Amino acid sequence: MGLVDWDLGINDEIKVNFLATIYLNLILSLALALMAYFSAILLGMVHMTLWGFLFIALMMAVVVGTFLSFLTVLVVLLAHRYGLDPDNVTIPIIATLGDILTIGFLFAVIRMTLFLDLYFNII
Amino acid sequence: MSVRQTTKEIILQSLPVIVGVLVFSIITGNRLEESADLVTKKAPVLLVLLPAFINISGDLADVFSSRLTSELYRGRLDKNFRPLRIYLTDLFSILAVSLSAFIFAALIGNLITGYLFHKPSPWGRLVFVVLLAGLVATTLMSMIATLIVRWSYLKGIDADSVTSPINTTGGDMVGTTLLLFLAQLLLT
Repeated sequence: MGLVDWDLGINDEIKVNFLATIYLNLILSLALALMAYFSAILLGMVHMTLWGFLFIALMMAVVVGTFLSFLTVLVVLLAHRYGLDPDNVTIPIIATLGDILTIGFLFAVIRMTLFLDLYFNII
Repeated sequence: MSVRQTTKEIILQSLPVIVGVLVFSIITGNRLEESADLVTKKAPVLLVLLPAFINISGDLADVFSSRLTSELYRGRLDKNFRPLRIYLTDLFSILAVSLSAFIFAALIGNLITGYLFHKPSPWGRLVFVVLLAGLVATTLMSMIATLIVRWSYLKGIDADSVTSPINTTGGDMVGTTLLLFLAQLLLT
């Protein structure tokens, strides 16, 4: 609809959506960490402190959220530049890449948390 | 509207929907857990196929609602999705894509299952199950997408902020339920 274009660069329209995505990611990740922690308590499966849950969720939100948001903007702009309808291509690409990257990053962040725990006692 | 106000508006519109669909995600996970025996022992092809299957139905519903939203805002469709020719062209295109995508997913999924678990399902029956479940799920999700896009358009809510989470999670739930039900019926 002409609001976002390769030639327009990073304009206010992109900034707004980018910021909203980051905030939503942060809010939901923190909520999910709290839900996971209290569910673990209820089920008697707590092996980590609340700070551990929050740290992992926050890292995921910042790293994956930011990366995927950049990737989405790039895919939309590239699709538009090469004459493809972003409506048709962006969602399948980002949804699939999102699944793969989220699982990959989740294990990486858990490994990193376990490593950091050796020095800083996070979990 | 300033950057701050628009950001706030997007968050306020999206947040309740995302929190709401979390419930449906939990129901889907629970449904899958109940069928653990079917998935892991009776028809291991489902283990390979399910992530791709639910992705396809959710993604296609999402593409469909994105197209509808764009066409509404560009004035090519009115609030009742007329002219109907444009709406039906989009719908049948989505169903045509789903037809080929589900057949492809079934064939590749069974091939991988044969390689990994040495226990592929009967080819014809698997393609039938996946195609039937896929087409029903995509049609159902397209209907839901149509209703959500219309509702959000009439209420002045940005459809882009609410349709994606509903389509993706709805696609997961409808797709998982249908595929497991038909697989239980026809593959075991």
